Amino acid sequence: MKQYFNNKKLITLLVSLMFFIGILWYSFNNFGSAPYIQQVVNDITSVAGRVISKPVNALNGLFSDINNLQNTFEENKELKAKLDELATMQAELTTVTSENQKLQEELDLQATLTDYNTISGTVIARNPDKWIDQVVIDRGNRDGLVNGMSVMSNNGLVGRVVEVNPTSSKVTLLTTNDEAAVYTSAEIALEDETLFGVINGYDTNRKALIMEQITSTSTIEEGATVTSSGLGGLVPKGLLIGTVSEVSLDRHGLGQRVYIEPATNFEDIRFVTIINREAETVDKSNHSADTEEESE
Amino acid sequence: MEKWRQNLIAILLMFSSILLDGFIANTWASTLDTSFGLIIPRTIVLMIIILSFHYKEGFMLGSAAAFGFIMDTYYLGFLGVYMSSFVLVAYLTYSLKRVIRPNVLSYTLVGILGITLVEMIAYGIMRILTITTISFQYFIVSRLSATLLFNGIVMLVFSYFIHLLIVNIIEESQLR
Repeated sequence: MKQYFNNKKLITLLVSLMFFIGILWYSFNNFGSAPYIQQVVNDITSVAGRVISKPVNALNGLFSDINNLQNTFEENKELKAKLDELATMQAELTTVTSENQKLQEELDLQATLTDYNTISGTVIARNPDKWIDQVVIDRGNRDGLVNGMSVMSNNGLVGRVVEVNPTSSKVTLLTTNDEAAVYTSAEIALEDETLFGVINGYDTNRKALIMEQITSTSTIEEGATVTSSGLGGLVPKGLLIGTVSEVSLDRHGLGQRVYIEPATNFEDIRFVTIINREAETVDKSNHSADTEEESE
Repeated sequence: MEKWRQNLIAILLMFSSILLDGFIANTWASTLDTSFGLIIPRTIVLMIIILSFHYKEGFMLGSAAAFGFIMDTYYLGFLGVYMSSFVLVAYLTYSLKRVIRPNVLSYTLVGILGITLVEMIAYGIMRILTITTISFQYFIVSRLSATLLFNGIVMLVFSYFIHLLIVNIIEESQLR
């Protein structure tokens, strides 16, 4: 027995093992609320990350600008054709906006589910291991970010802020493996009705988001637009998520499962827009309980 | 004083590798998702292995733990995954360097072993925490194989230059 305790390496190994399990347990249970030392390390690393990402983003932008320039002639013809249509739509929009404003005043609504303001940010780095598909952005709580805010890129919803440091933050993308991090209440607007459901996963083979728990058995057509419904308490209503690419039965064969082609290319996220919902937001603990109920 | 300079260069090399991994993952995300599996850039693991062949055990174990901590907190958000696996990789390299000499082939061999170890530990922890539900077989096919191939080639191509750089720095320090 004595020889085991005299073995210095064995004791070091055991103590290290207990230490690593301990910090893993502690930090995983406190995910999203990094202690001060972690926030400092994250911010220092993100400053160095910016030194690399800024010139590379600028260079990428230059290449895509050159690429866009080649398509300008074709695009110009298309846009001219759409210009007449746009004038009619503009007039219609003005009428609808003023009507909407009057109706809101009448109902005395201060902040509806669709109201939000935005904060722009740049992606500094992406988690290389992809177990949790996360990006690091150059905006933090000094810019007004808080956990749970929705994040958009190229006009499509891409994820949610999960950790906020003073000058940087982490955003978990909808493509991550962790189902609980993906839950987003969404709606599909059909001609005669609106279907509600929950986005609860990502199919890597199809490269499509999965929407389940759909409230109706109505036929869903491919190409229909999917937007956020604003019902989960975190994401504002009306953010574009994508379009329906395929409809099938869910794993139990009871409800419909909709595959959504995302509006954003998740493999090319360089700039983001953080959405600050103006309507009352549920706190994180209530939200996790809600999503658990929804998933059941 | 020269020792300090030598250690600082090792720290800068490891820090650059951590940033490089995140940068590669972000800039070439679509390229890394290949038809034969997902490629995960692990230049930090390769750098720890090369440096462990030349630096003292105590310094490398400490540095591996520190850079594991940065990797955990900066990219993952919770601690322990890379902190533990990087220390194991440094220890494994230190144990193997007693029996193999540092050259391109031995770096590549230890690189493959080290990356396998890191990926297995990360997969095991993610399974336990139910962040992933993929089977071990699928993990081997969809992630490990492509990652080993990519990082093996990177080690084969770049290890010689890193080796020269480190050897020069150490020799310069000794001459002064």
